[in-house]
Amino acid sequence: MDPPENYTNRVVSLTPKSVEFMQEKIGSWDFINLDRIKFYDGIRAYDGQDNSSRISFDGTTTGSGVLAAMCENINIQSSLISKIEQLNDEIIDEEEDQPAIILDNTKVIDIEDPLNAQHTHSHSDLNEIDPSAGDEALDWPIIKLDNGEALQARLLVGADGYNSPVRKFARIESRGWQYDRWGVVGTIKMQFEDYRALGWQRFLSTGPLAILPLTDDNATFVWSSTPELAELLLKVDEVIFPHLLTAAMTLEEVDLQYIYKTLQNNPNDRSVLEDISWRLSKKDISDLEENYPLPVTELIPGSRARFPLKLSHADTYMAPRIALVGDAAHTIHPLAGQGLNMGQSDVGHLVQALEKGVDRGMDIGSTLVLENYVANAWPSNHMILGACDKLHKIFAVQWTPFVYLRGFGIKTLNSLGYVKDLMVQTISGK
Amino acid sequence: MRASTSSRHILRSAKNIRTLHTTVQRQTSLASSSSSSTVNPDEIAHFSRLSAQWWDERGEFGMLHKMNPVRTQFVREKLVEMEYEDGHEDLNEAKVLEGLKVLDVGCGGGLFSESLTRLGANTLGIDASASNIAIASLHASNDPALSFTSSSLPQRFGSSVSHKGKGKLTYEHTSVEDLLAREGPNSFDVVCSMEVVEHVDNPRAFLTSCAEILKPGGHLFLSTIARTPLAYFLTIFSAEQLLRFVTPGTHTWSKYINPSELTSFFHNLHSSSSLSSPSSGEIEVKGQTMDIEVG
Ligand SMILES: Cc1cc2nc3c(=O)[nH]c(=O)nc-3n(C[C@H](O)[C@H](O)[C@H](O)COP(=O)(O)OP(=O)(O)OC[C@H]3O[C@@H](n4cnc5c(N)ncnc54)[C@H](O)[C@@H]3O)c2cc1C
Repeated sequence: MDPPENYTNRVVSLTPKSVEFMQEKIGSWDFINLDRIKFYDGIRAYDGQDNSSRISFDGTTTGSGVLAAMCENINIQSSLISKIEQLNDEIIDEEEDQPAIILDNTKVIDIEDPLNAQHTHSHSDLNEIDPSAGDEALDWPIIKLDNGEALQARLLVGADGYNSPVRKFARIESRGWQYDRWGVVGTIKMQFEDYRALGWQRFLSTGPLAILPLTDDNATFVWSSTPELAELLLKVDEVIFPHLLTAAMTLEEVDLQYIYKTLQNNPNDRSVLEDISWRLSKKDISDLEENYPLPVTELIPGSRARFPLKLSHADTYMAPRIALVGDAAHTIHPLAGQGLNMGQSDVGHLVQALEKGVDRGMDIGSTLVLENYVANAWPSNHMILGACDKLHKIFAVQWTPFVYLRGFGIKTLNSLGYVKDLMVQTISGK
Repeated sequence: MRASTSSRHILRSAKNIRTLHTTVQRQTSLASSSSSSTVNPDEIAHFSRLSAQWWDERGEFGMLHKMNPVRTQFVREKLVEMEYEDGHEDLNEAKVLEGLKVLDVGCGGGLFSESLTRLGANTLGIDASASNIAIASLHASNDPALSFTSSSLPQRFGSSVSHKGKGKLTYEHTSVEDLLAREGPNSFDVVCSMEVVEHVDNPRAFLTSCAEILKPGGHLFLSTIARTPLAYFLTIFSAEQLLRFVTPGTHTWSKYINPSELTSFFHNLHSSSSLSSPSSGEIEVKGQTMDIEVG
């Protein structure tokens, strides 16, 4: 299947660790469309209220020279499907096992615990198993689908996102909060292909704004914003929007507030274009060229979307015959681009635990098998969640003395090599 | 808590091990096979409750659940080692148990038997307790991946499930002595008896039966709980040692068998068999002690 011509707006930054996992362990990287992958070398982050407070994260710290890879979700998904097809072909050839079945466009409408379910049929014939109700003597969860089918599983893996029906079925508590922020995403084109291959992130008081490179002159942005600003960002005229992005990466926050206000009155008011270029013209050219991303020249029409930002972490990732992975287990602020990577790492730990269980002839739905997964996956996720939450909170503060301190902090951080390396290692998953 | 060290011994049986003349004594008086064609729902409910207790990973038998993966891994690793030693270079390690006839003596609720079966062994689990066999059977019948048959339970429990499983699993309420009498010697590729030997009345006779039912070149796995905490160890051990001093020869086997005793037992077995048959094979005893973390 050919990819869509323009980049889709659901793009993630994959850490070298995730890429390695897909290469070595899953083997799905063989099927990735490399023409649509952009490896980048570092991130330049700076403070919205003090542009001189800068910190850079570079791939050199990770040893690979590459910090991360930008990749469309759809690229990952289709590579995984191709890998499953390849494995199924092998399985069918060897007649060893049953091939994996993918049920597309099918919704789970209910999950039942057969041991607690109210059975209406009589127990007169114990040898008879009612297939639609599952085997009631089996403690395996029954998954009811909207196509009328039911499945009964030894192990049910909930990879079903933030609202995880599986997590709710397992009565696993998930704690967290909404940030009262939205992540606005979209696909853009830069003035030309930037040889620097860098990601740019500016900590605005409304939330961090990041521009991350895709191949050629393409790029993607994630703009964490207050609900009002997010609404505005979706409404702003598609011709104005690229310039607004450039402004938001470059201008003083007071200038930005003024521009927002104009656009709030009329999102199609093209007079802001002049205003922006006038304000930009006052900037030092060499500083602009060195320390800022290239100007944004185009917004891919219809590519803007917004997502509510939240933090959540499930108390545990397992129950008997249940494992949670990915956003079902944790949701994170996108400022460090960790969400999907954490999910990959979950899967890695889960597979490891299952392999160990299989090796030892254990029932892989047993909590004795799954507890290895939780023990390995939970603590590091908790650390990353905490770190990103703190970063968000520090930069969401506008109080001036704190901004000075913050600026001081970020400069100090930049020179304190080892603290920074630690952060890069977290971000790049090494 | 860092608790009991259990040690396991593996024995490569001598080719002539079946020529031994040893008194076989039944460890427990066994009721005749419990197979009955009608089990009423009350009974099923009763065994379901027991089975649920037995299989509760955090419950009373939690320690056993924690130990089980360790011993399964041990069996697998040792078999792999043996295969390499025998020059089978192209071994598929994951399948080392596949197709082997394995006897699990004293299978209890079936924990270990199920694990062996998942690794591909055709497993027979036997136990002197009818209730254990019922618990084990009930549990196994609830796992479609184990192609399970029971010779001592009615259809609902024993119904062999059509799903494709690697190994076959069968449970039977019997003793190793009776099984030996019925099946004859040389019947199994692997015999396992986990944490059982310390509970039997006549370990010598018991172990001899285990050894005899094994095929030549087969493997016998035994485990026993050794008492690690020093004080405890000293108390128990010195008492037994003393006992042995007092009545030499008669009390070689205490209820608290120690790894080194197991080893020497099989060396003795070896030398006595050498007497009766000069063309005896090699007996090799390998042991391993491991610590198990109990959380
Ligand atoms: C703005 C934004 C930017 C981000 N940027 C990055 C980044 O740069 N790097 C990064 O690593 N992560 C990033 N993330 C996070 C990343 O997108 C998520 O962590 C990731 O998509 C989670 O994957 P998942 O499979 O666990 O859950 P989801 O992607 O939410 O998938 C859940 C799936 O379950 C299905 N489902 C749910 N309920 C049912 C049901 N009842 N029946 C059937 N199916 C069901 C859904 O249809 C969906 O397909 C970003 C997130 C946001 C919002």
